[in-house]
Parts: sequence; C-alpha cells; structure tokens
Amino acid sequence: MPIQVEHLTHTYMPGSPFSAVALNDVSLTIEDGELIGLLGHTGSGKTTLVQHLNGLIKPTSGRVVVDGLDLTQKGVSLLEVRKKVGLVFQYPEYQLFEETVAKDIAFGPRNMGLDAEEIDRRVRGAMEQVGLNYDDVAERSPFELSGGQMRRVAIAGVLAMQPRVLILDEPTAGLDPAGRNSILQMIRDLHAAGGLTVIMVSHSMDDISTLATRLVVMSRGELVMTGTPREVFIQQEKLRSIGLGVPQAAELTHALIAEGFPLPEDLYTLDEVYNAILALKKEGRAC
Amino acid sequence: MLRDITLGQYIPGNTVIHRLDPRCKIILTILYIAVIFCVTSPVWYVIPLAYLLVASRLSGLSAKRLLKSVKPLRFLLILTFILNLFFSAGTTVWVDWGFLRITQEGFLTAVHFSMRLVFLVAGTSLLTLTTSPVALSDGLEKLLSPLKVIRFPAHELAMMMTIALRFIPTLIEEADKIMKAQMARGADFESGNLLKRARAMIPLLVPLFVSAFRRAGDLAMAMEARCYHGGEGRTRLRVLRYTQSDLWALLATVGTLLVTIFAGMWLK
Repeated sequence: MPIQVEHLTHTYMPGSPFSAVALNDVSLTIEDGELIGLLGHTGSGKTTLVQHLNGLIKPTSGRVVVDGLDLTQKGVSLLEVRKKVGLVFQYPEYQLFEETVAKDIAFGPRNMGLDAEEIDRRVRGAMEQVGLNYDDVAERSPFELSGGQMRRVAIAGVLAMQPRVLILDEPTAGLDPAGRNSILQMIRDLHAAGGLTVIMVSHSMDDISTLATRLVVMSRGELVMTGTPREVFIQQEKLRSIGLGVPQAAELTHALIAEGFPLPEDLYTLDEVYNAILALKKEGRAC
Repeated sequence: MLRDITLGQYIPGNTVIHRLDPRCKIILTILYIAVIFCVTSPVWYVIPLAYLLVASRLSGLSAKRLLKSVKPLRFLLILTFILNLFFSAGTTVWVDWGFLRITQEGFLTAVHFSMRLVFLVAGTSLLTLTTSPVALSDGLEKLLSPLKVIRFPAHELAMMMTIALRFIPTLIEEADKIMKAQMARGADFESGNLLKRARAMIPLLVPLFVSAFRRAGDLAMAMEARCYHGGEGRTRLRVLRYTQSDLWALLATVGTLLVTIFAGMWLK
C-alpha cells in the first residue's frame, strides 16, 4: 500500500496577514514495509506533512494518494483512509479521555463500527503490542498512569485500529532515557513483526539512526534530502546548514578522521565505530 | 480548521491610531458611543460616518475590514430592522395588511436602530483591531485604578483579562490538535443530530479541560517563582504616557460629540 505525495503545497491561513507556507512542492513515495525517519528542524513542516497522509488537513495544491485513493478527491471516505493510516500525535497522552484504559483504546475500533467481541480482541492485541499488561491496567483510569505508560496507551489506541501504516510524531519527546529506549524498541518490534510501514518523525539523530531504513530530511517546508541513513549522515555539512546534527557516532568518526585516523567516512552507529577502531588497533596503529 | 479563527482580532501596525495611548483609545471609544447615542435622526449618521472614515484612513484599515466585523451580527441586525419596521407606532401608513403595517415612522426607526448597531460595532472593533489585547487590559487597569479606593480589584481584573486573552490562541491550538488526534482515531465531529454531536465533543472536551487545568497550575507556579504577589508595588516595563496626538484625538472626538449634539437640536 504505497503512499504517493505529489507536488504537495500547504499554506496556513492563506490570504490573511498571518499566512505561512508550511510545505512547498513536496514529492515523496513511501513503499510498503519501509521504516522512514522524517527529520527536520522545528517548523520545517514535518508535522504538516504527516497530517496530510491521512487526510486531516487538505493540501493547498498537489495530491496525496494512499493505496490508490486520491485524498484530494471529493467523496473519499476519510474513515477508510484513517483505518489504513494510523497517526500518533506528539504527546499523544494528552488525547486520553475515557474512564478506563481499555475504553480509551477501544475508541478507535468503536468508531469503525466493530462488534464488542472484535473490539475486545483488538484492545487486548494492541495492549500486548505496546507491552501493557491487560490484567494490570485495562480497568484503571488512564490519568493514574505514568507518562510513559500513558503514551503506550495512546499508541495502543491507534494500533487497535490495525492500520497498515503507522505514523508517529516525535514518539520519544519528553521521555526519560529508559522510556525512550523502550518506545524505540517497541517501534522496532512493531515494524519487524507486523510488516507495518512506519513513518517516524523526529529530530533526534541518535533515535533514528539505528531504526530507519530510509531518511527523509525536510527544511523550511521543502524536502532537501532522502536516502539510507548512511547516504544522509555522510553529508554532515549540509545537515548542519539546516540546523540538524548527525548521530554522535558519526560525529566521533569525523572528529577522528580530522585527527588523521584512517576510518571509513560513512560510519554512523556506535557498533560500527567500535569495530572500525578495533580493526585499526589490530593493524598495530596507536590509538 | 480552528486554527483559521483570529480571535482578539488585533492587526499589528504602526500608525497614529495604533500608537495612541490605550487609555485614550478607551475614552475615545466611550465618547464615540456617546456620539452615536446623540444622533437623533438617521441623516446625522453622516457625522460618525465621517469620523469613522477618517479614523480608518489614519489606522490604515480599510472601511471594508471594519464592515467585516459587523458580519457576525447580521441576524441580529435583520431582526432589529424587521421588528422595528413592523411594530413601531406611526401615522403615515405605507403598507397595510391588517395585522402587519409599515409606517414611515416605523421605517425610519428601523433604519435608525440598525444604523446605530452597525456604527457601534464598527467603531468599537476599530479599538480592538488597532490595540493589542495586552495594551488594552493595561489601559483598562489604569483607567479603573481610581476605583481601588472602594476596593475594586482593578489589577486582578486586568491580569485575568490578560491571561485569558493570552490563552485563547493556545487553547484553540490545543483544541485543534486534540480534535485532529481524535479524528485520526475515527472520531466524527461533523455529522449526526444534536445529541450525537454533543456526545462527540466529550473526547475533545475532557482532554482540553485536563490540559487547561494543567496549564493554569503551571502558570501559577511560574508566576510565583518570579515573585508575583499581586499588583501592589508592581512596576511596568512599558509605562503608559499620553502624547500630543492623544490630545488632538481627544479634542477631535469631543468636537464631534458637540457637533452631533448641536445638529440634533437643530434638526430633530
């Protein structure tokens, strides 16, 4: 179920003194099973772009085609699109509203008009996917949970709709390192197990470097780079010029190269750098 | 969607009108309202009309923009017009359908009251269009401060106004975000009957209230952390000062008021 974005432009409040171009002629194709890292500085249009992918906002011009459905056409069932493309917002825990965790997760499936049995099955399934114990938390109020747990509940609420594409907007924002790692692990598992296409918006290079199969970099409403992490992270200068960094491992590599160590240029994970340094040491060079 | 609403409707600018002291502008608006109520016959609306046209020219806002602010009131306007048209006492009958009759007097009253409404809204919106909400509540606080003698909480009132105004866009943005998040989970805010729609608001309102309370708590804490302890002895970054243009504006407005009063006495 590929998603095609063609010449997408979006202007907020057109024709008023506050009008602002959020997206400018963005074209992008997302294939099945990809895990895309969508990178960009604050205000680069990442969030606006992902909100187009399930029809929450309409393009000012251009098209978005999801699974052959052109979202800009009249009469397209947006509910159908939202069943296929699940979107988890930034700080999704602030959207919880029900009395119990189970009821909140059931909100999406209920809106889809499923029967009680199927809803219950999906709630249990989604809770398992995000690593929440049904017996422990299902009947508790979502407002009693910790921040990390609330976020899992919110993500489960989207997963319960069983989308084929999962979009997460800054899923690790505001979490402590342990919470962050477990959310990232969860995303990795979801992608590996379910054959889910995942789009993850982030500005943390370290989060995304080990996860994504492809990176899409945005700046000021335009798509500036796309490619595998290796292809993108080697362009350190360009990334810096748009206010982004590179993963710490890539930075370390570049620093070492600048000091005269003959390391390959395109390393970006800690393991790679570690192994490369070990290999150098074996060759008998002083480190 | 919700983001497109401009509330507080202030349009930034740097014209003579924008630079007037907010206290002065509030007084001017009160005087202007007095002018409108001193108009005795529809003909004399030329006076506030001329006043508004000059003011809108000086403020760089088009007359069209001012008229746009009257638009939300169109139903009230039509209602006022119709009620006065049919239910005013009068002698010169134009149309008579037995139970409904239109008289010349009735027609004039209808025009009179509708004009009054239009001018009231257009004029006062000139104030809110050219004055930032913060300046407005500053001005109000200063104007009301003599009432502190009788323990009127002028500062608290102004502070509440400022905070409320400050949070309107934030809450709108928040509501927009929550709405989208629920829509992404298949919520439908737009169809169904009244009861269904009211029920559909729950997933929006609960998170919105939760976050409003959270924000209020955070704000109170942040204010206390910066030693806020009420208006007593609090100084300002921008001290309000009257300038020469305030004087001229005041004179011009008082002049307009006098002209209106005399015009009304001369031709009823």
